[in-house]
Amino acid sequence: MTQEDIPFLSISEASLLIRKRKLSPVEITRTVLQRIDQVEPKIHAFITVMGESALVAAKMAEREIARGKYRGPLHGIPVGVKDTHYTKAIKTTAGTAVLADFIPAFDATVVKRLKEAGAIILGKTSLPEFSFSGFTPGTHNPWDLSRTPGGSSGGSAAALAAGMVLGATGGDTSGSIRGPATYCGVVGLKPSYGLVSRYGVTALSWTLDHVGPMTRTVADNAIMLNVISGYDPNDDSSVDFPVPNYVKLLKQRIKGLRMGIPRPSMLVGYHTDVLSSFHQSLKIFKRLGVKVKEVDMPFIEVADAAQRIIRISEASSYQEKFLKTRADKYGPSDVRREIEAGSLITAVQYLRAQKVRAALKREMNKTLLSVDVLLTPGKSEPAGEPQKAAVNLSRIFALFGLPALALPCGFSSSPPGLPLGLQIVARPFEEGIAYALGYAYQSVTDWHKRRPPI
Amino acid sequence: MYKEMSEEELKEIIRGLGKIADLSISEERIQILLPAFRAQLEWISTLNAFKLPMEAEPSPIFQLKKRTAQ
Repeated sequence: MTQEDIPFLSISEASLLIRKRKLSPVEITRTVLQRIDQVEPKIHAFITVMGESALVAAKMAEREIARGKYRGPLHGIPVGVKDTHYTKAIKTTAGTAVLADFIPAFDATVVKRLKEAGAIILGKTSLPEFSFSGFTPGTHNPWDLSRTPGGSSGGSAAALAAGMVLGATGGDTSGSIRGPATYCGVVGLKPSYGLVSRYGVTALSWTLDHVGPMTRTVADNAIMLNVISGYDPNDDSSVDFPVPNYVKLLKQRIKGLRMGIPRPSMLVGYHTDVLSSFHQSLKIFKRLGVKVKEVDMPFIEVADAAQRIIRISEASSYQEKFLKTRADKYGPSDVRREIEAGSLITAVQYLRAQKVRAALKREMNKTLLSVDVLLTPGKSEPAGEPQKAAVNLSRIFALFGLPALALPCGFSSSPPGLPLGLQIVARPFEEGIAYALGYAYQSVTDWHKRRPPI
Repeated sequence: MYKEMSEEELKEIIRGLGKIADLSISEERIQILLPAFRAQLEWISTLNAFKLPMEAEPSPIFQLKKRTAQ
């Protein structure tokens, strides 16, 4: 292993080296900070880099481990958190001038749990204003600097792909973890609604928002979810049940699992390379013993409309205080325009969207009785290419709160060299099955091991 | 139905709803947010066309259960 390899170690690899005292938390933190110095000026994945406090935390982790107090696989591991996550005494901007001076007095539950697990918080990653977009203005995709990393968790995805963090957190209301993960060739999980606390995280839409882990491998993702998931009495949506050990579930049997895929009519407009890599991946899953069948989701168009109305109604309610007191602070994005319009939706229209959501959830449950998981492309096109798909296969899984795992599955040929991805969707709180399938897939492929040319 | 409405009629609705929402939306802002308002009307129209069951109408409370009924 050379010095250049350290920032690209997986969490599993790095934690093993740290536990065996072959790599120290200070060494890995310093090396990753050097990597940030080297590539961040080209990528702009961070709003705030916390180099000084990261080194202090790394030294503390090193002392603890030397004393035999090893906290677990995140101890001494450098991670980034999206700049919607409150960090005590560190500014948290949510990518907007409206909150440019906001310094929280406490850590978000997710940040608190990462710190308690011994993770080193390296910085706050970039996002579009208030997470409102599928793009992250100002942040560049490490695979092609002229292209977007996607959004809204674009900074986290870009930082991972470029070797500037070993793990990160993101937020997903319409696809904001899975989209950037796909565009940047990394792994991102939108967990089940209520599995990961949103306490201390800037809201976009309360009944659609999810916080989740982003990593370079599926196994690393399970390690992070083990730390950040679980009941939080401070979050009213948090579900109180014993969370399993997701790392142990990685190697569960997948042979015989039933995998539903969208009918070809649902993939009209998808990029040729996306379809090609998707079909190649299906062959791999079949070789792994998975049974594949096409399924219908006739309710997608209505579900899409319900998600949009719920999202913008709730966002407008959250933004009301800012719109009335700091409207001039909004940036040149569409946020102000959207929430002004969203403020005009009536309560009856919003509640109708929620009732439609509940009715469609029953239909989705029926679909998920005939299969164990769904598999779709992660995005309909590679980063920065025109979006021509007739159907959006991201938004609906946030609407139904289902766990959805994005992972890399190849690279485009035209244009060349852009990451492509898959999305594995499981039943509520069955993240373990999605992980097991993703882990098996990554055991026989090497897409997740490629590094961008930067 | 909204598709038959003129731009001026839509603007009038925005002015009225804006007052109810206690927002002072300027004429310039009304022009800017008009496309977003139209998009919302399209989604609302899609939802209105969806027939909710008269009996056992679902509750508008979103809650995720741990396990889908098998």
